[in-house]
Amino acid sequence: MDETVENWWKMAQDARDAAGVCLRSRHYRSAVSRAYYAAFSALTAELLRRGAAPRTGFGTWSHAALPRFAQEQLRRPLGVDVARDVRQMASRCYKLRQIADYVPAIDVAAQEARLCLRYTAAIMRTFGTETDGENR
Amino acid sequence: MTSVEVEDLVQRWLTERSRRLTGYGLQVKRGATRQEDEWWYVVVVPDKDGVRATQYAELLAEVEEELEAQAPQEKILLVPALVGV
Repeated sequence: MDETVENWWKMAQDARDAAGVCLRSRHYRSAVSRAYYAAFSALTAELLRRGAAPRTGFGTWSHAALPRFAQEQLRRPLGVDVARDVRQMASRCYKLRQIADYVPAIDVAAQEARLCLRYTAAIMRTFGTETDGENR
Repeated sequence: MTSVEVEDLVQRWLTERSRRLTGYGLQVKRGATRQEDEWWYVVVVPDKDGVRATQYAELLAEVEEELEAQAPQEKILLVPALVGV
């Protein structure tokens, strides 16, 4: 595996595992934030592995652009339904992360953390990685 | 599109969908829209306290997807925010 891709995968795995730790210790906002970042890193790794070109000078895509760009890029290799599912899960993780990190007036509880981790685990499984951070 | 036109477009979709699906309204925060890297960032605020984060996130994501289907040339990101900001 290309070193850059491998490094993004390692970040994804680390963030997912950290999300699981945060969930178990009831740090739900942090769990959502780490779970989203795991999804972001996994998507970045997968797109780089498939040869997509990130923004010059950044090495990745913007958080706003990534879900939609990923859907467009993954439609052909993974199929329309899988690409749509990946995009929808990534979008919802991002929204939950925005709420968790920037909207303190809205409660973020175990339900949100578990949902975000499930989305992240599903995205990572789609790209060939293994387990769910909640259970690690 | 101008930022005002984007806000009008988003508000129309929110008005049609939010109360029917959630029991509360979602409002575009007028004047807070900005554009960056081709993306419009539109701040959307619920009109009551106590909204469930999962429901709020789901609705914003759904509306984004519907806006994209209707106007694929526009890149619009809905940004959750505090009540009363």
